[in-house]
Amino acid sequence: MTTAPKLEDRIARDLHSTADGIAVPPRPPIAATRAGRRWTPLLVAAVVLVVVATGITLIATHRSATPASPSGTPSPSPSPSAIAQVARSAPRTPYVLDHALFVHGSRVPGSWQYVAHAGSAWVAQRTDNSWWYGVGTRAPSAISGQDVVGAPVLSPDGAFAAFLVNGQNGTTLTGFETRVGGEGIGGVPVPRTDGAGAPVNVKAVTDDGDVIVQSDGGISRMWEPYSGHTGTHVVDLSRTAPDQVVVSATTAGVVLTDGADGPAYLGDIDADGTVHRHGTLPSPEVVVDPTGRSMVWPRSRPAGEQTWIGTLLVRPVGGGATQRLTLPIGWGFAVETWSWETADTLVSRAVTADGFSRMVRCGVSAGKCVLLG
Amino acid sequence: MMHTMTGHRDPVGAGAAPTFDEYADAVWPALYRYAYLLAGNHADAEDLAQQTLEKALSNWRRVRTADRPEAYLRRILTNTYISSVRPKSRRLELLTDSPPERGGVPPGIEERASMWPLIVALPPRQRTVVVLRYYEDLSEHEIAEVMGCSAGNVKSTAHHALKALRAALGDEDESPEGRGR
Repeated sequence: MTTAPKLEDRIARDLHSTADGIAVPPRPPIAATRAGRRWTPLLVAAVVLVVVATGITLIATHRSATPASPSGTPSPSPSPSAIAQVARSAPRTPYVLDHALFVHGSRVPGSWQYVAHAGSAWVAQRTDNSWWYGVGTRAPSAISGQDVVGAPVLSPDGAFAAFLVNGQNGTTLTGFETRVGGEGIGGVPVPRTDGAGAPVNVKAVTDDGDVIVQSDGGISRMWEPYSGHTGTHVVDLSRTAPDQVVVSATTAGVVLTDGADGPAYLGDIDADGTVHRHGTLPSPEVVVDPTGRSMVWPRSRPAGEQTWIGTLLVRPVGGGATQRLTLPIGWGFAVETWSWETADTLVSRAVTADGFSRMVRCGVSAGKCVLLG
Repeated sequence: MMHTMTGHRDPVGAGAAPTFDEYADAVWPALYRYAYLLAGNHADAEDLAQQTLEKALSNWRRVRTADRPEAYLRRILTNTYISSVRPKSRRLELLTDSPPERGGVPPGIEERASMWPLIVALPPRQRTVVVLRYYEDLSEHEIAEVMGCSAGNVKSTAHHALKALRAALGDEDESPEGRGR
């Protein structure tokens, strides 16, 4: 008696059958592209940062100390490649400082109050509360004609953005592909608040375009615009994953907590709404680097109306030694403004008790942070 | 069955450093087939494969001296595809494309494999992981390296893809693969 072939065997068989059965056209003539080598996080993860023309801050590290020469004369300084350096150049990722928005080092006209970025995409809010988005160095586009509720959320790779809009017929969950020529992903109605009056918010967007909305009072849903079903495929997560609170989607998976104030963990959510846990997390506020390998989180939560944090902690997602990052005396990391610039550097806004602000860059390999500008 | 870009160890000839044209001729069929499985149609596959070789030509010294040139090309093609993912409306069109003209199809082989339309309907990243895993026979870590993401992300994406394919087949009785918690 033969048994039905396993799914994976069928997939492999059918892919090979398809590939073997196609007619391969003749190779067209090939001309070299003019594009240079692109920077990617995988390259930077293995290399210290480059020196910039505006100035160098040499951060001495004990691990690369050279032995004294036998004659007692000072040993030559280690070459720059042997000393971890943290560049003082302007951040390459979007940031807002004193109501000015900078993207790839260029100021975007207008007065701004918020920016978030993922991949090469970013979303930002002006001080008039209008929302905009951009990709790379492209001129930003307004998310116009919409009464956007809350901040648009980007997928970890920046390919998708999702948000809530209020309209005549109530609140709609919608979004779009951020790439050039990208299309909208449709929309589904959602309640603005739950039965207890708590607002429904977009919590996460996955790289597959799935959007998760939740409220504190029990609404928990996942919309799957690309599920192959019609555009209104929505899974009730309150049934499939009760009491699991989605915090964010990251390059390493979805961050959840078991209950509103329960322990944080990394997991993923099936198309049918089942949550699978992959490992515990030290904090629900982890921010994962573009490669999914490292994460940063605040050592403590701000107390009361405190708007800064003294220490950030960094650790590999899979576990390992935890590293502390601190700023020069008198400075603190402005709450929720830190983000990964590369797999090895973090950028954040730093503030003083007097209200001064500057951008700061931290090098994980260097274990140090430097103020910029 | 391990599938490689070159198809065999030395496509050009032992002892001779290949020119770019010789190398491109040797890898073109495998590159095209991989591109077709990602893109789902001939026009986009040809674009993808051609762009990949153009980029390889721009970095020919690096490609030529790489330990695994095929892995380098695979990464270029994969990232080119993912960064140019087609909108949903076009993806729906692919399912109704008439099969391309082809000659010499051996008797007994179906024009279109049964799972192929379902694989084409997967979101781009899921389709990429499926093709890399079950056609190129790469491990999770190798796929992660190609796609520039973590192995955990690959595992998660693969899981979603298989789940979607099972659901599309209506095969809910098949037991899921084991998973550690």
